[in-house]
Amino acid sequence: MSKKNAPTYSDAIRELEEIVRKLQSGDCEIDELRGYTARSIELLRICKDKLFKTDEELKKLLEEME
Amino acid sequence: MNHPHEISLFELNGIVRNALKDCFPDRYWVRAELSDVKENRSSGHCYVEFVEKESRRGNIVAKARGNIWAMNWRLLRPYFEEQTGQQFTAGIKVLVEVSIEFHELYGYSLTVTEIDPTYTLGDMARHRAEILRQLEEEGVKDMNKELILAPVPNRIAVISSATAAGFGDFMNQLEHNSRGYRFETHLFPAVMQGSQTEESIIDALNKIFRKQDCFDAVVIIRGGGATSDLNSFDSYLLAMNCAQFPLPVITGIGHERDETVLDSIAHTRVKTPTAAAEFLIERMDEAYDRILTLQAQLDQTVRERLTAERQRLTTLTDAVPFLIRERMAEEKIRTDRIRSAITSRLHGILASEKEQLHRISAQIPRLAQQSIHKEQLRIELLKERLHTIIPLRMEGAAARLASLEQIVSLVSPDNILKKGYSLTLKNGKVIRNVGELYRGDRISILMQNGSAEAIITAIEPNQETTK
Repeated sequence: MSKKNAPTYSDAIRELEEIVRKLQSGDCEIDELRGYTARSIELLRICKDKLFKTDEELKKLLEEME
Repeated sequence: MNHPHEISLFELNGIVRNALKDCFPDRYWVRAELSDVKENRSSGHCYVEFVEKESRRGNIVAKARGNIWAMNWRLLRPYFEEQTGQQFTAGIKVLVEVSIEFHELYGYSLTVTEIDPTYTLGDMARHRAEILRQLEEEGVKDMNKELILAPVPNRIAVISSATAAGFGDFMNQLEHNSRGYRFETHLFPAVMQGSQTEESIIDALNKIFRKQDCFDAVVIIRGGGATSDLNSFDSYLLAMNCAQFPLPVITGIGHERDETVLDSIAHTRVKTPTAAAEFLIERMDEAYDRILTLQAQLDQTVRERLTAERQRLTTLTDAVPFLIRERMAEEKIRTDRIRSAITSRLHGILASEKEQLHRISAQIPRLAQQSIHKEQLRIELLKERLHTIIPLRMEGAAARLASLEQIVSLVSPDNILKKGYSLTLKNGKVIRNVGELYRGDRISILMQNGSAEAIITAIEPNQETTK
């Protein structure tokens, strides 16, 4: 919502689960581990932001409605 | 004109009053619809109007005034409202126990002594069932329930009265959630009580509809006050609007009794505004727990993987020098083997070459001797042959010369002239053709023993030769 390219919460969770599955199944090269870890940290941040951070853009929209 | 039994109106009404009292000494349970309810603030009495309508067309077929005296009203009203979740108000059907009164001044009226809330409840239930049946027939009853609530429902459109205690409870609960989730709420104020409720909520829904992308859910809350006047939420129109609303509708309209129609069609129904907030927080908890689980899984998996890889690396590191040594030893053995094979092979080749050389060099003097001897013999032979051949050739040549001499002497002009032939010369040249001669030409005729001069007098070529 806040960034155009940011995935939605559901997409982010889905991607996270896919990464966990891949890592658990050993379906990933050690070279990719760093990339996956970085991506999962990014996704976790996105998900947590949705839970804990103010959606400034939404706030603005709502203020306009007043 | 005087009538012996003439009486006053008051007297007549008094007779009627007494007669009624005699005829209807009991109390009666009466079914009726309330068409008007008025409470007198100062006296505390409640005045109502009962009607009965024809079931088909709704025409009023009976009507009566009713009184609920203050002493009774104080007890009956809260009991009724608590039991039904419904105000004792116009438009509802009631079952009341009445005594029949007649007052000289006010006329016929019914004094209410008891109210049976179960009858009203039953009627309301029938009414609700009817609305729900209609919604079902129209295929909209479960539409809102079928919507999927966002996994992180933190953008909330609230429909409530701004001043309601329930709204305060809801906001308080959301804001002070223990994990500190962020909720974005926006209040769409609405009247939550009385006749304007339906229109007011629909109006708020329409406003939210225009901004639907900004929200995850609609929460309709009410309450904190009396658990009465819920029949506004048994509205067909309101239910229709909510059921078809594109966002999940969560109701917390604060009552304990049977669900209203609005509750029945809502995506999620909870009892109180606080419960509505808790529901949203729980949903956030689920999302957060899911994230934490994933995080833990990731953490563990990555750690395990790294440990395993490190171990693998250690094992390899330990193994490498040993493997290299082993391999080098193997290679050394192999090269040694190859080297000795090559050496022995070379030796073999050299020996055989040497031997051949020896053999060949040993043969050379003998072969040379043989060649020389053979050439000497040949020379001797040639010498001998020359000695015999040369005299033979000389003889042959002499004989041939003699025969040639003979041939030469035979064909010489002298010999030919001796035989009688002569030569004819003109100007010193031998004439062989009669055509070269003309009459008067001077010619010389050469013979064996001299020559003669002559002049051509006639020329007669042979027929054939002149041709």
